[in-house]
Amino acid sequence: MSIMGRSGPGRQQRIAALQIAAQRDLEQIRNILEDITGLYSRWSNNIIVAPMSTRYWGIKEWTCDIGIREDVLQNLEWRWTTMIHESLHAISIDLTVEALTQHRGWEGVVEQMQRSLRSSIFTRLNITIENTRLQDIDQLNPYNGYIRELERLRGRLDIESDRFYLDLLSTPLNERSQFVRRLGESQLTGNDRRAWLQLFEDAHQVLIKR
Amino acid sequence: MSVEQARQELVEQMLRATTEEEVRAATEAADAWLKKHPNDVTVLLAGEQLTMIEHGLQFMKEQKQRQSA
Repeated sequence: MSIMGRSGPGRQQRIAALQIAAQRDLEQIRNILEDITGLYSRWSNNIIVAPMSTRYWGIKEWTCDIGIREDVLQNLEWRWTTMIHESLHAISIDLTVEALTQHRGWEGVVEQMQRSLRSSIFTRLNITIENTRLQDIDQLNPYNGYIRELERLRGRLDIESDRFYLDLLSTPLNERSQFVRRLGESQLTGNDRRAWLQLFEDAHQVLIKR
Repeated sequence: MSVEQARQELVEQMLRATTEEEVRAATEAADAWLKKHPNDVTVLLAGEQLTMIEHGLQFMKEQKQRQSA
């Protein structure tokens, strides 16, 4: 475990306590997510308590360490939603630098899964957070644009949410777009197929941010 | 431009950054914004993807340097 930021005896103790608690909770989340998804987590088992000067709320580093700001770890709803979100990045198949750069919005799957899985995770961990508070923080998320496009595609395909997003999470990031495109192509014919391809292309342009 | 418009433009810049130059410009813009608005959750959440790409580009650069050494 790493300690970042300015030190002082009281602060060091606080950070150490945050790390211990976050380590325990991330291990529980990892176990539940592996159980639910059937996928293997690449999390390094290392949690970094990041200082308040950090430019992010939470992050899954390329070393597979998970970093979360100390203020986030002290806020009930942000703490759990961020831990679940970052843990899902550690499970997401073939999340590489190249794939993230070229297919960034297709990793929005992780935030949508965080929202759909959190209530069952909270139940298993005996945690109570008001749903309205969670919905309020969802509104602030900059990945909502990605989720909107993924939901448009899912809606047209008429696939049940959990199935759709788990299939995407299990597909390498740089193959997710073609996976979804082919789903539509295999289901639709004629004008419906043409409309699907247009819908797909419009959504894909938003998801790859070009 | 209103504060909200400026914020939306910043978030868009952060989410679009791909090259080293774009990432540097976006991180500088985000840092300047966060000095004035340290609790802007949307910008901090967008900082995740930006920082992942920033660290990823560094990681790839270091890998190339190791391979050519």
